[in-house]
Amino acid sequence: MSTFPTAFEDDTLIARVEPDTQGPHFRAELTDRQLVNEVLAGSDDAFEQIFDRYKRSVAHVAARYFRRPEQIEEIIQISFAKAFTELTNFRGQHEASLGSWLCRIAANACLDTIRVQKRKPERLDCDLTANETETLLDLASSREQDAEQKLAVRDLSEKLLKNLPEDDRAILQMLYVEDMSVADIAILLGWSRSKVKIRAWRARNSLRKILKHYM
Amino acid sequence: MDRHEINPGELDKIGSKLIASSALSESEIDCVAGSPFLYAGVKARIGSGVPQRRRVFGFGRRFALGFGSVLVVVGIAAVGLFLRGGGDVTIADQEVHVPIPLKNKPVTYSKSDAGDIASSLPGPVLATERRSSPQYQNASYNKADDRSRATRKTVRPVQPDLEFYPLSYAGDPKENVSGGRVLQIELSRSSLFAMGFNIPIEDGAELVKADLLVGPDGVARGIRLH
Repeated sequence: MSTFPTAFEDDTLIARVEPDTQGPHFRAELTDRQLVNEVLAGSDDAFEQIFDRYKRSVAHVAARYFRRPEQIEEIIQISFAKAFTELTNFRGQHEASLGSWLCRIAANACLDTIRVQKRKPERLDCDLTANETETLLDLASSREQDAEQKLAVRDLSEKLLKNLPEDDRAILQMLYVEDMSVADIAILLGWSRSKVKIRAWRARNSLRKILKHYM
Repeated sequence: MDRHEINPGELDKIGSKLIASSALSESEIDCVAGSPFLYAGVKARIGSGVPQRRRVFGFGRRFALGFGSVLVVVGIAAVGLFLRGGGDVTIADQEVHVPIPLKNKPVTYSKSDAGDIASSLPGPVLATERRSSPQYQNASYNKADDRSRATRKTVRPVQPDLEFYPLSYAGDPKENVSGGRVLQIELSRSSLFAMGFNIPIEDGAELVKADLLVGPDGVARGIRLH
């Protein structure tokens, strides 16, 4: 099941309010479209409500590409600032809700940041210790891991996945961890399904090469 | 390290577990998203990068650059006209003529002018005629005129010193000057230094022309350097 939170979220799930209802409690229940209209009318509170409503979704997108908290915070800020300036272009038609629109902005911001950084994968110039190799081989089995093993695997993954580009890792995370379908990824990134498949195949090959190098 | 043969399916399984373990947990993402200063950062970014403001600033900057470039071109053209015009300077609607100094104009003479110039110059006058002329007879001593002559004398080429310096081993040169003779000799610098002249002797063998005043007894009384 897809965990992609907002791409197909229906506006009807959000409680609608009548226009004559007043007060902060009811204003929190405004729909996305109403909030957007209020922001366009010059309301800062409405934009803050949009921020509170979707900041976690945007953080999820940023966390696929970056690991450090400050990087994720920067992507969140860039995404919402860009959304504020481009809010007049938001149409809000069909399934492209405000949440999915923001997530696409965040994904593009991540890709732009990676492109600007032009960070190349680090060289495979370090070997694994015997314990790390054993830990890696244990991953092939379906045994349950205790807390200590999980920590060791996490350290090992950080060490190995430094050699994988961030965008490749993000695609594999969406496919493997979040169980997103190719169609969902294509909608999120604004790519075609073929492009998503090709990028996923390349990312998988890159990861296999890295693992083969160490095993 | 021993190499393990693992099929691609197992590699994908290991890879997926690695990626899953490296992913941030929900609590970590919530911690980042719940930062109290996050929205303030968004507002700061919005305030610093509103496109409308950038467009206004861009238009103003373009206008300032264009106006400045026009001013620079006009200034350069004005300076060029000022320098090229020489004596003629145009300021508003007044025309001012600046005369060029005569000393800056080169004077050229042709060969045909040579005769006219020679005829305009005074002819040679003999010394006897000059002494017998009334101007010479009525001439009075003018101190300022003499001073100007002395000044002019320093500009002329160096003349030989007219005074004889007494030699240390001779007596008073004036008492026997009537019966003496003047001999023109050449002495080396080192010899002159030995005689008491304070001259540099780096090149001691160099000869210096001098007049030697010799008394009737054959003893040198004085010396005069050229």
